[in-house]
Amino acid sequence: MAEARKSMVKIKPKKYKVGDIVKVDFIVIHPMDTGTSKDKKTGKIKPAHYIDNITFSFDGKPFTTMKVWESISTNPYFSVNYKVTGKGKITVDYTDNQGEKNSKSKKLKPKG
Amino acid sequence: MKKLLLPLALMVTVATAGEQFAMSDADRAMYTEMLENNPADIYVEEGGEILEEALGGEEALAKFLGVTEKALPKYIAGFPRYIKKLGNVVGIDQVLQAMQVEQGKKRTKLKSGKMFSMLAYVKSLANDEQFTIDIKADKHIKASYDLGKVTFETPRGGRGLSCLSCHSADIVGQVLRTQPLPDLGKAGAGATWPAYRMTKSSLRTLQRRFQGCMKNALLKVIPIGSKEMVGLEVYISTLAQEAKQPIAIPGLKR
Repeated sequence: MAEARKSMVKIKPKKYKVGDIVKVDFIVIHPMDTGTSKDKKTGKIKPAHYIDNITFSFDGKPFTTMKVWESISTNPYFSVNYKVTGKGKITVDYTDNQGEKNSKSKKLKPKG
Repeated sequence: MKKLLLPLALMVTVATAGEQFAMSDADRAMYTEMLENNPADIYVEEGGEILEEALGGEEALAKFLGVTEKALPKYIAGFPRYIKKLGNVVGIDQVLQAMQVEQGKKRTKLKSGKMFSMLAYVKSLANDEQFTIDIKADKHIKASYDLGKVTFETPRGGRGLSCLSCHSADIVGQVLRTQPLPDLGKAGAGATWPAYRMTKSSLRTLQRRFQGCMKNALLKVIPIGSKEMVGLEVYISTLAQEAKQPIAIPGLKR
């Protein structure tokens, strides 16, 4: 299994209150290989390697799940809307077709 | 005669390429939207972490450069500059290397992902500032600027191409390989690198981009951190300075 992937969760706008709808953006560095391209150095076909499942959850309760295929670009970003209900933690869990499991989280701190 | 013909032939191909762009306007709009979600932000964040762990963060950098932490962004906006301690006109990446040597650590290669990330982080500290490169400050930076200009304008390689072949003021706006040729100053070329390069799916710096262009144009590739490369960076940065383009890092390139 490869090392943990680099990823990032952003919440926009930066200042928000309870009841506001915020944008939760998730960016990940992932090759998203389709299984049709060749490795330039070895000349062998690179096996397919892509994210297939993404779950956005708030304090352990999932609010969005996505099924994703290899047609998504390299280093993709995903964006969902979320209505802020209070303080907590947004976690993004993602798995890929080679069995890697990773997650990234960000604290939600509404003001006022 | 041959030398005259080649640029002419290039001009003709440029002129007859028509309005065939690689991207439609709708695609281009999507690209600008993506600036908000630039994957390079991850690399910049990582660069900050590496700098903090390996070198002691901005505090150590400010101390090394001999400025206060508050004045650091303004000072960084003036890079590449002449550093007395190093006796040369240097870019930020070379300053970081010098810091590593001073602290007795292993040098990170100039052409490595780690160094690109760190460089992007340090340069992004100066975001929204204007460039403050003063080429009249001392003779070293003046010499570097002149060398950069010569490197920019000298035709080299099998095809006798120079940077000026595609980036002179006369052919701005024409199409080459389905890409519109930009005005380097107004496009803020010096101010938006390091950037996320779509075609390479990774973070690239200005000097790395020069190398890629040299390779494609069949010129001998100049190593990163050499006098010519730093000179080129000075020259391109002053073009952005003259056009009053604020620093906006990381950029997003096709």
